[in-house]
Amino acid sequence: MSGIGRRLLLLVPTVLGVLTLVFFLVHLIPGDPVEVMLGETASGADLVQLRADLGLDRPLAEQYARFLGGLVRADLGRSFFYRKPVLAVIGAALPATALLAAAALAVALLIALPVGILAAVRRNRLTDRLALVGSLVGVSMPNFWLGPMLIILFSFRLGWLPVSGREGAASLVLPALTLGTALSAILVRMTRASMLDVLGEDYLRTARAKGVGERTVIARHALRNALLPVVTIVGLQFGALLSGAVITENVFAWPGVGTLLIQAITARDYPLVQGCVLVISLCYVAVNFLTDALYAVIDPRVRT
Amino acid sequence: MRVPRLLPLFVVGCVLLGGACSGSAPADPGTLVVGLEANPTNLDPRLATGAAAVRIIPLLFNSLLRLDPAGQPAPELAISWETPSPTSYVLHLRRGVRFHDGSELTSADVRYTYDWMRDPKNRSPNQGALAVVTAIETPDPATVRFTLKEPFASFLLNLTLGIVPAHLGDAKDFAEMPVGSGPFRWGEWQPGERLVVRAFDDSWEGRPRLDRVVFRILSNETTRLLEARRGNIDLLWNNIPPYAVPFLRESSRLAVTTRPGIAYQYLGFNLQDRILREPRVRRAIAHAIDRDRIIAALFLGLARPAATLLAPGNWAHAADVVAYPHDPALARRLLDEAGFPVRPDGARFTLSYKTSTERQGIEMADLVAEDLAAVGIRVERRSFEWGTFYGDIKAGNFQLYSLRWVGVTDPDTLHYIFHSASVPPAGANRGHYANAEVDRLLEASRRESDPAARREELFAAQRLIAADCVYVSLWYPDDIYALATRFEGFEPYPGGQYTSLKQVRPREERR
Repeated sequence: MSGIGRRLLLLVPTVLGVLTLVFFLVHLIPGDPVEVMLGETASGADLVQLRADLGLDRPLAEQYARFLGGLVRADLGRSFFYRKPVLAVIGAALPATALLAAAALAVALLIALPVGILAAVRRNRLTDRLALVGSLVGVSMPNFWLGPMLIILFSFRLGWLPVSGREGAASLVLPALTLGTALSAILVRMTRASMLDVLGEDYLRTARAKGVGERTVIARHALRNALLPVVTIVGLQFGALLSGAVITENVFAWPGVGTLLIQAITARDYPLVQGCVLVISLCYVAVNFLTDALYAVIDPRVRT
Repeated sequence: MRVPRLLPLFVVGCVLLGGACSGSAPADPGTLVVGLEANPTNLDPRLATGAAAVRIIPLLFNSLLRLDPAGQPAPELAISWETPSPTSYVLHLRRGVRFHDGSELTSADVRYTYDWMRDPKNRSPNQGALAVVTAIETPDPATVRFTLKEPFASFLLNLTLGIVPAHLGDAKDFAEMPVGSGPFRWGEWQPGERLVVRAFDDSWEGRPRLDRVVFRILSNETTRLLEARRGNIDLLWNNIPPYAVPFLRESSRLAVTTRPGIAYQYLGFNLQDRILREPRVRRAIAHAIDRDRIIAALFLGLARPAATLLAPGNWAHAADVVAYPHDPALARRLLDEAGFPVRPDGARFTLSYKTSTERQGIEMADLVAEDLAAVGIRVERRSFEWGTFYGDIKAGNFQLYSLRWVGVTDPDTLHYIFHSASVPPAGANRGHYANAEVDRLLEASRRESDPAARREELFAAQRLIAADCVYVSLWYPDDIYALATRFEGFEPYPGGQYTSLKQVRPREERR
């Protein structure tokens, strides 16, 4: 358990580092939220006044200290544009992104595991070749292209699924497929390679020699050991999944944190940008933490 | 192996779900769906800034005056008004107007709304525009008197802001559930996703013919166009790129209308730049640009060449300003005369041209660069994310850039853009233009109470601005909108407001 405790402690500097970086980056890029807020007709005095009210006239170091102080109290400040607490604004958008990411992950695993296993078992045969070519194609298609293509095929030509929006389970299919495809392509290769490593092991030969059926050998004995590296990759790729969600949400008008982040950056809504990035990085860190914890479940040797 | 068995199940599930939930469900005849490109962040008329919000607010709120489709002030809550002196405006209110909660709208609500916006602690974006007001009085429930610091001919245009009920305006959640007196009342809001407004039964204008208007936020252009083509969006306006017009016209469910617009596209110069402060260089650039070619290529002909900020149709549009017809030979001669001969490397000089990452802006920059290359001017096109680009423009950190003035109906905008005191942040004189005669004319036009004399002053100012070639006036892109054929009665307002949705009706009703 001390291993897990240490890992938890390590998360603190990681998240803090990300936040520090984001804080300074958003304040360094040109553009002024005050001018956007007060509109074109504001006088110079009004701009100065609002800048002071928001604390934007203080030295950057002082603003940073106040930001960290707020963080300790779980106060992310107020969004300049929604004029509401950042946590409330993000809280409203988070479930949509969580649902999308979970569905994309499910799509990726549902495609990748069977295809990867099949490719490994039928190594160098047609199935294997097709799986490899398919995964190359999958990983090469960017979200902003794949999304519209899927819309044109499934919504426009076939009329099976809605184009965009969030109404009913059907509207989740295309975004999840768009977001999950690249991850599934990576996982197919990972699963295949990992299975191939395991398939050559002595204990599988032993199992077969004992007369265990081939299906059981693969499902019970091989897959369990082959999954470890796959789980690691899922954790590591989760960041790519979240950044892909920003684009996928835009294509499918899916009202999640990604959509919010784009709006916030455009409007120079500093507290909201920081809040969105905090949430995204916390998700990433949490998933990687869970991945480590999952090892213990899959492989009893890691439990100590 | 359990996992592979789930896969076909999943696929079948998706298809079944899809089949059940999509297809063209029969559209509700009283519901009109509008596709928006941006999220309206704040629908409180005292605080709203973004175009999306400003365009929707007239549906929820009434204002003292409204702009008619020609951009002129017309009665709304005020049925009449007089100006006893150039610094005093007295407005007489319509009686019996009710807010959505049933309470009556009186002069007290008007004063509350305007005093609230004038109070610096409320940080209203309209505070600057209202700085000219010194007092607001309400002699009786149906009369409001505004007293101004100094005469201001365009003051009536400040009276088009939505009126908020005094007894609710300070409620914490007002911006989320606004209450006004407009033809539609609040329905539902999922920020970033959709906004629903419903017909207000007791509207003084009579109940709207539509039961509901749904605004869907579709920031991705491709998605927006596909949804419209699929029949899921009934109205797209101000967000249809010209290239998509033929695509939308293929649908029998949509009627696409194009008509002359008043948005004004220009090429801006930095007049403090070593090269560009020379008027002959600016005129040469204006003559070098082939507007007709760019309009044909980029707008498929859906734009009109421009010569001044105020579009034809505006009462102050000056028709006799210097236009700069396409003439590369003249452009080359002007550049030679200005002392910029062609150097051995084939170019006279290099200019940087800033634009946003928006596709049309980049394509336009490339076409302009081709035209300028033909007269020996090398252009470096540099595109930036919108906030960075706009920040640079306001800070005067550019040589060339292009932007669009949208919805300009008030000629006083000339003061805001071309007066020497309007350098940002005071105004939008981003190129630091200074001409004492233009300043004098624009100041006089603000104080002038005789409309004919005011018009002459505005004409003269526009002639000087064009002669100095402060901007290259490029074109007025057409207004393009697509309305589902099952509706009729939509009328586009120059400012882009969705005001006319109150008179839109399902087509069957005529029978």
